[in-house]
Amino acid sequence: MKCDYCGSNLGIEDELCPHCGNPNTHARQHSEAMRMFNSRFRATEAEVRENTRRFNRFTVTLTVLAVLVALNAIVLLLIANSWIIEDSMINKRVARNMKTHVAALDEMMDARDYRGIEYYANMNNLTYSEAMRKYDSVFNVARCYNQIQNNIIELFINDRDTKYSYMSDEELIEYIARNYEYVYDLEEELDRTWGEPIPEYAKVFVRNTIDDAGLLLKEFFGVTDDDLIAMRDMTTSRRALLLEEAYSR
Amino acid sequence: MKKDKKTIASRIMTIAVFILTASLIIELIVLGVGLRQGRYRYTVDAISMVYSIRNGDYENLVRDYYNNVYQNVTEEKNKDYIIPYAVARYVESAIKYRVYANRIDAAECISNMENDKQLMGEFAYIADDIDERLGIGKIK
Repeated sequence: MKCDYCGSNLGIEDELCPHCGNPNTHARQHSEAMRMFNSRFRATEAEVRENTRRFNRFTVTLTVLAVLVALNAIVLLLIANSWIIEDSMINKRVARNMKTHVAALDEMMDARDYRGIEYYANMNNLTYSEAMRKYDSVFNVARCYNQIQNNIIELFINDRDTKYSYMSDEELIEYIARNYEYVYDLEEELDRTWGEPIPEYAKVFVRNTIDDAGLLLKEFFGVTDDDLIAMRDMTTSRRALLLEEAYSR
Repeated sequence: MKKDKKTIASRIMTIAVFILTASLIIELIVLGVGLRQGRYRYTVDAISMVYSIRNGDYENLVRDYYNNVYQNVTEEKNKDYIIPYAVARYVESAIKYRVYANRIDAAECISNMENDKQLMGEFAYIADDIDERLGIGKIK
């Protein structure tokens, strides 16, 4: 670059010519151009930064939204299938402790601990478990026996004249008749639930429960052995009538 | 105008994130409750059991007793249960004694009943009342 006045060589940053001292017009134009360039550059840089920030925020929010939608869908699916999941969890837990449960139940069956069987099965979710399916008749027979005993307590020991006596004597006797029927019907069900071969102690337990339920009826209603045998072939209402007659005596 | 649209879209997305997060939390609670449904067990407090005794509802009392005991709610942990549990056990033993006297160890059964009667303290008259209702006074 040459000086417009003396023609000597000039640098692009020189504002005055070092030889003649006149202003360097090229330098002024250059610095103006640089200022403009810098200003445009900063504006463009700010715009790019802002756009990037917006894009990033948008992308992150969109990703979070997508993840939340997916999680919601998964959890809803799990809720819809919670019973299946829970069943599976229970089954696994029961199967893991199978030996303990079987030992405890066998001991209770041997001791004719009907309350123990019912509550042990309930508290350990054995009644819902596939692993303990063959014990279903045992649980049912114990539950029916306990129900008979509960109804007897209500009928013979409870204060019957309070507002808390929701069921009449007739209704309670009908429940007892029905549960007695269930107890001996469950002897046949043992074949269905246990499968072959049915162990002797299971058969003995069911037979014992039938005997014990019969003893309850004999002791509290005064029915005879013949009545108990005859009751097996009666309808529920006929059986209830027989018990009612015995009760009123 | 373009900037306004972007702001509105951004706000809508933020609101959607909040709604979805809230619904996810609620769903997780529902799932947790659902998965614990089969394991949910109630226990009965001593006052309710005393209330059953007061109303002469021994059937309910016995059921509550077994329900509690099988969940390890024992009288050792809470002394308030001593009387209601003693009454519940007494009812069960009395029935056992009356019905299965020939099969069970009658002496042990009577000893248990006496023990429970002692635990009842000033409410021992309840045991006498149960004896009377079951007609076991004559047997003892």
